[in-house]
Amino acid sequence: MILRRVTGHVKAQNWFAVGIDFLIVVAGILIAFQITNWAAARQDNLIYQQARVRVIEEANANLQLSQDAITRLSEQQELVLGIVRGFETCCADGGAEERFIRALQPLRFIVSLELRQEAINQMLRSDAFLDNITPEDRTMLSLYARRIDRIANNSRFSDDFQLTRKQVHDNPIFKRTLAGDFTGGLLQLALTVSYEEACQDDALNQFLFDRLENAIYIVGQARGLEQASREVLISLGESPSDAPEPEYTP
Amino acid sequence: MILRRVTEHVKAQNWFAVGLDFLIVVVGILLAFQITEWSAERQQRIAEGRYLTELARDLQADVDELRGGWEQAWWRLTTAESILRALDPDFESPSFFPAPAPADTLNGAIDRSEYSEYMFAALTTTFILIGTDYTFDELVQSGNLGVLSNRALVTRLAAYYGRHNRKRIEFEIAREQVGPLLAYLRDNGFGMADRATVDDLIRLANSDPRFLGFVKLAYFLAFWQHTQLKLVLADAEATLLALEREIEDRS
Repeated sequence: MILRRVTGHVKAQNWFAVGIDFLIVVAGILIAFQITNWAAARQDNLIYQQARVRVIEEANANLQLSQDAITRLSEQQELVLGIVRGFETCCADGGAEERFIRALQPLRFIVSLELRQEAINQMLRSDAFLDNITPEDRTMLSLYARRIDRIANNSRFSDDFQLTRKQVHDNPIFKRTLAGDFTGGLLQLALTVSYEEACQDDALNQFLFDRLENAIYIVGQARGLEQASREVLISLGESPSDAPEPEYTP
Repeated sequence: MILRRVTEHVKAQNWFAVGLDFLIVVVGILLAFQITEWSAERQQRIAEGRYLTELARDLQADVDELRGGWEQAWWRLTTAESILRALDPDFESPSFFPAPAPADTLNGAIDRSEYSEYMFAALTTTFILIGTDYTFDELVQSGNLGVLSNRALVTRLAAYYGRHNRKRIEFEIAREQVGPLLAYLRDNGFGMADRATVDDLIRLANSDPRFLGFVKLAYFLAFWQHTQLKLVLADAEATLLALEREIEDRS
């Protein structure tokens, strides 16, 4: 149709009409390109919104992880302090040994701060999002990423250091038994010496001090993670989920 | 439709119409492609501007982080030095490191008062490099480095981030040296949250040669970090300046 019309216009030397015909072809192709671009931009924006949701979920997960770690470490601190209080009197009466052994079991685990960084790294390191993210959001997310990277680095250092310390089950005042509940994956410990001797044992006291120091340090890191995650969620227009702290059963 | 028209013209041996049909389609498409290409080029220049701004923002974050680390290293260095000088008035800093920059050349006063009563925590602290390479990493990963038209700047950025990454690894190795000091403190019942002043540490270093050795180690690490951070900071500032010039030239 266009071709016939154009031929007619040229034969009739109607150059204005020929120009219009050209314009229709060019504009048609350009509009087709534009529609493709709009569709691609819409798709990019959709992908960005999904990535943003993942960042929010991740920040909420980190908030929860930090709260869990604080809960578990506070428990550990309480358990250590309870044992130390018992050691001050160093008297086996009234079930002190049984309480001590029960409290010791959960202290054998090193509580780490395993935070999540995948979504935030994807958001900051993928070129697909640069056109959609605002400079303010990018700056704020970049700050959050650096903060949690530092916390992850500190936690790794602390974990590695803990592994260089003597573990309680290597202390000859203990033996491992099949008695009791070992659903936590570790065999129950039992004393090979009297409770009175155990409370004087340097290596055991050293272990308890290690756990206390580790708890103080990791709680500090967890509070930093908690604060950073709260701040980023508020900046993204979300209210941090204040889920009740999970119940911890030693 | 086009094929049918062309076939009709060929059958009628209307060669002028056939040529015109081809010409319209070819020229129309070429023109449309050209316009699209101009538009893409314009988009690329906009993207380049955006990338340059983001790179500058990342480098500014690096400068702020490095300056903070430099100030922290300076504070630890002078603290450890004050302990060593109290024990040995003839103490001299190692000649293989350049003399540390005086505190007043730094940006503002160095206030680490929160540590002044927790000297065990202060001595075991080391600065770790995190760095902000998100935009550069994104450019490399996506293969978009070609968006940046100033190739000298690209080379400079690649060199800066390469050096920064190497330093990051070195700083992590340096941090490992703190482990034995931390173990010493734990084994002797000193906690990070225990209050201890410089005078307490002088007394301890005076009575225990092992602790004195650890103070020397902490001093060396702080000195090394201070020296290294000064170089990385100068590198970051110079790269940022080059980027800002590029942004200015483009505007």
